[in-house]
Amino acid sequence: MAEVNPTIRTRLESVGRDLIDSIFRHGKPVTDRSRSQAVFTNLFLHLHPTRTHVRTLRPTTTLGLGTISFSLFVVLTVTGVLLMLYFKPSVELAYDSVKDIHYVVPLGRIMRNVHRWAAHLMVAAVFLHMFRVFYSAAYAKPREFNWLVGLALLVLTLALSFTGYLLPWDQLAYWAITIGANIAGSPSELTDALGITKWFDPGGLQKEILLGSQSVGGEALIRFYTLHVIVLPLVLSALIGVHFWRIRKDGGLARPGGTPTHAGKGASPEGTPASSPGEEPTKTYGLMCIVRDRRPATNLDPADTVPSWPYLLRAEVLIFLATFVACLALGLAFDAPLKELANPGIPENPAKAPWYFLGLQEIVSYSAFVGGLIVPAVTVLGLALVPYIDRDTTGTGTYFTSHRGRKWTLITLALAAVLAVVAVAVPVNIGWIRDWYPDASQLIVIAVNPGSLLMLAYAGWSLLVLRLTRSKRMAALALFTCFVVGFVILTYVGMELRGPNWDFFWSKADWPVH
Amino acid sequence: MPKRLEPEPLPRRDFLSLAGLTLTGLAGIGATMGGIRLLKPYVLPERSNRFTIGLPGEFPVGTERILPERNVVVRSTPAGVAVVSLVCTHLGCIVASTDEGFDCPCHGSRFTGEGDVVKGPAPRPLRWLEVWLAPDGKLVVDGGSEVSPGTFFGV
Amino acid sequence: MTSKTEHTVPVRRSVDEEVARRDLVMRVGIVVVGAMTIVVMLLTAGREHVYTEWRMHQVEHEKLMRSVEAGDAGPGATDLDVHIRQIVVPELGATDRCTSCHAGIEDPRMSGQPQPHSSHPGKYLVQHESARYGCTICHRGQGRALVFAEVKADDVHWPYALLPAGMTQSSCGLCHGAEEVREHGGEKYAAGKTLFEERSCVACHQLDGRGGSLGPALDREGAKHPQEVSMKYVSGPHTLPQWLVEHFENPARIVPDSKMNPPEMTGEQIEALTIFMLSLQDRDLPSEYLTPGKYLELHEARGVSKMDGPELFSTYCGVCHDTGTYGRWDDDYGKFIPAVRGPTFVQIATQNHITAAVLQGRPGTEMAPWAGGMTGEEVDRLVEYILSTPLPEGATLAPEVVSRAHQDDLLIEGDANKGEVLFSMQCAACHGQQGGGLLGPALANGVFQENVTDGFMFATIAYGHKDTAMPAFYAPEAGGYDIEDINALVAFVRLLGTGLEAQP
Repeated sequence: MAEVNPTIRTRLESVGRDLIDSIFRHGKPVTDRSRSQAVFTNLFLHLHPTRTHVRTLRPTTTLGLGTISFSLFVVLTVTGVLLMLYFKPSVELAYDSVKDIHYVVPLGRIMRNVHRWAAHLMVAAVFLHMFRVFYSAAYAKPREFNWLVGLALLVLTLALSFTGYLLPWDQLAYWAITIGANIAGSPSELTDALGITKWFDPGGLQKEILLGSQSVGGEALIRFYTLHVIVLPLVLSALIGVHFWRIRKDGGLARPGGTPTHAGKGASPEGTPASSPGEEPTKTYGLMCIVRDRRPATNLDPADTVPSWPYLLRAEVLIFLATFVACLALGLAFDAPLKELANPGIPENPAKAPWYFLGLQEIVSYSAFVGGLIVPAVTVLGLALVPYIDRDTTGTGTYFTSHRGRKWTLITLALAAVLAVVAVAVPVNIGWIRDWYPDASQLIVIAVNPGSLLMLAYAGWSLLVLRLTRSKRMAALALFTCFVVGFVILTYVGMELRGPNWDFFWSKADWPVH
Repeated sequence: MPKRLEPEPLPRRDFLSLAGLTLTGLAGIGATMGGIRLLKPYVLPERSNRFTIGLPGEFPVGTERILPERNVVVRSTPAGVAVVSLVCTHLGCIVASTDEGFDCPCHGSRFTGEGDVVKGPAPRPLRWLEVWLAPDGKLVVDGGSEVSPGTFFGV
Repeated sequence: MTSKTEHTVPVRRSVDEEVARRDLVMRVGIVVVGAMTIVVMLLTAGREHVYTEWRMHQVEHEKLMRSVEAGDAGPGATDLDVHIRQIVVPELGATDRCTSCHAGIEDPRMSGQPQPHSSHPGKYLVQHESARYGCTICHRGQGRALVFAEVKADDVHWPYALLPAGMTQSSCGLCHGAEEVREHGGEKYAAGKTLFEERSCVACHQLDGRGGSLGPALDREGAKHPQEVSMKYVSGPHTLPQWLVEHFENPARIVPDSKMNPPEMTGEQIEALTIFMLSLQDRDLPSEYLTPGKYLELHEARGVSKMDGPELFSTYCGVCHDTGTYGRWDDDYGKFIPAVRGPTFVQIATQNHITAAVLQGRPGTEMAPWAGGMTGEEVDRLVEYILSTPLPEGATLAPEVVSRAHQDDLLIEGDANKGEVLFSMQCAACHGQQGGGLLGPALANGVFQENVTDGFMFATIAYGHKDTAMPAFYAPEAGGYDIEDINALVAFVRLLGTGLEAQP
């Protein structure tokens, strides 16, 4: 048909217009306003504000770590779903199916590699994100709850990574998970020492719930698989939604002087204080667009905001692309490890947990109960309580709050590093209680070990800072810096300096040959 | 709506934005293609379609024997041996042997003993499979290789 | 830079400038990173999908096929369907993709072509149809892999390295009897098996539940993972065949506390023995894969043993006891080896005594317990053989001495204190002050004490053991011991067994 019937053409055009209208609801997004409306009325885009504070666009504000974490989660979800098509979660088939993914599934190898590296990167990014949020005191009121949500996301990320670790069913997986599961069972260490395991055995219960059996086997594999592909991703997705939503509801990114009250976004902290609860605003308005030469009257000064579309979206696209290409390049350059088929008769030596647990494994090597449960439990609890103890909102959005904060952080950095090195060096060089008094009571070995002492020293230092500075913020900075330094140093020791039989080696070249 | 409240359209996209958008789109298309490529496997995780059915002596002339684990019927006639697939050519159900021939339980296709369609939706006769003798003297069938109906392998 | 502006009211124009600057960075960034993404994606597609090792081989193979056919002026060049080939044999647990690169393995026209395009040498594939056997049942290696380095698996995480070409015949022994293997080009395997039998390896190692327990059982010696053995002192590649070769060259170098000390072997013998070891995989292959010859072998190995007394003795005992008719000192182990078929011994030892010695061994010596290593019938046959050892001229003991020795409930009483004095004067030099054994056998040994009769001891001391270092002490006329002295010695030796001191 050379000639198009004009009526039909008009019809087609009008259908096209209607289609675009129906998608964007407010016409083509070509103006600030229609773009704002598009952002506002689109399920995915409306996680963004319609307008973004210019500070958000500065790379130093967030370092993009939250977006990187989320990008990695997206990459992991997509590659994970694709891998699910070929992975067979049974003891007999799992290893072979991973081999097949590596060798004969088209692009399967790169998919698995990307999944693996993205998982490691996500753990790292989530940690760094937490460090960033903490040091800019962005947990302060009104963002305490979102800090808790973030903490839950960190734990879920670790759980996802840990459950995924078992699935290839190779020696690396098998022995790493055996160790992890025995850490879950380590309260038995305490109950055994007290002689009450027969009646009260929380460790055994935890381990059995985790593994569905006494040892890592088919039951554990299917449990880990279910957790890894359904339960944890669903919970994580839901919490990510809450996390994003709260960022907006809590007034966007923390910035100095920009902290809104609980009354809601847009209500200026300097605004008229409500004299009675009845006068609290019940409805709030967000600003959708700026119209030239007219300035709508609201409490929020729009002068330093710009439309999220395109500025914020562009930044996000850039971060996503960069994250993706980093994963792909890593996957191309380094294959994900796959050792021999899991063999319960031949332990790996050294059998190491995933890297993010190696700091714990270092402490576990003194006492499984303290290292595997007490230290992480106290750490998570402490991190959760920080915003409720430190109620100060000054310094929000400023790294280290102030020059004083910077100073105390640096002092703590040095001190915590020395303490951590001492905690490793003493038992390595001169031994510990068991080496001196082989008959020492198990209770004493559990209670008094480099791990628990290091934790106490860190807590003590933080209390000292509180006394010296009379500032809870300084104490929080000190405690958190201790946690960061301890985590980094112990993880490094576990990763690089521990060899067969968990002996200390300066270099892997010194490991005895099997 | 009063004219002065209507914001002006933004300037057309500059080259950089367009290039960025194009590259991002290409990357998206590439990633999607990669994901789709992964769905079509290189190899199927199945055993070889060739299988040994036994020595010719195990199939005396004038008998018919169904091998259920392979879903084939082995017919031995004076002209030789033929192996006919029992997979219905309509939608892949396994046909049942009757006095007159084979009936498909799924959609009522009916075949003669030679596999020709006499009733129902089956578009073509049952498949006759290639048979030959292996060096160890056993009959081998290739489930993936078809011969025209009525071809017997002379032993 | 940022902190300065934060507390002042920003001017719209400076915000615009900053946003414009940052946005430019973003846009350039997207272009650069986007371009990088596409480059990396293309690299990925190239490496993972296009320039794969197997694809390159198949493309080259296709070219070769064309040139071969053109040379033969045969039928028109065939197009090779380029795809991953694999052979799945669930019965053997094999998923072998070797043919993805060895595409011409069954094509006789490709014989003599360079690897991996050449056809399989010999006529093995005619008898061993690839669809039924796959490749790894014979060659081992990682059949699922598509990269040669990982198929070879001598340096990757896979338990079974590709067998060196000369050792592939070890796999013949999985399904074939040794005679069949020998007749079809597997001389080394058969030689290894013969050597294994000649050298009586089963004297120390169990195979199919038969044999000694001094060394480890060998049933899955050829299926061991490299992690199951210590590769610490292996100088070649860390694979099982290499471990076996170096171990046979010098067991104590590879396994430092190894007691294994076989007579020197030639390189050929070592290779043959290694090949035989590699065939010991303890695999439960489906019965239709086994040949009649293999069935016969398995039947002999696992069924009712046909070995008679002399055979049993030479297979299981001869390595240490030789003919058993004389006692000797073994330099390798630094131990005394008794004459278990010595003329005196076979006359005065009871059947129970010898049976117990075989079944329970001698704790503390290289004589390991044989319970389980031989069937009850075999032990009976062996003991019968030992007891029926022909006596040399003039070795016959007086009937009353023999009958006393066979009397289970005979209790000889004597003065243990006197015995102690006599013992330290005459016996301790060889048997040790506490009877722990030096040049002579240990007397303070539970199994010995439990099973010898007093009459046996008496006869031993009185008349010695012919053809061994044990002299006769009964010579009252010539200044030797009288009966009372010997009774005293028996009483003291009995005390040694309890570990008690002689009491006045």
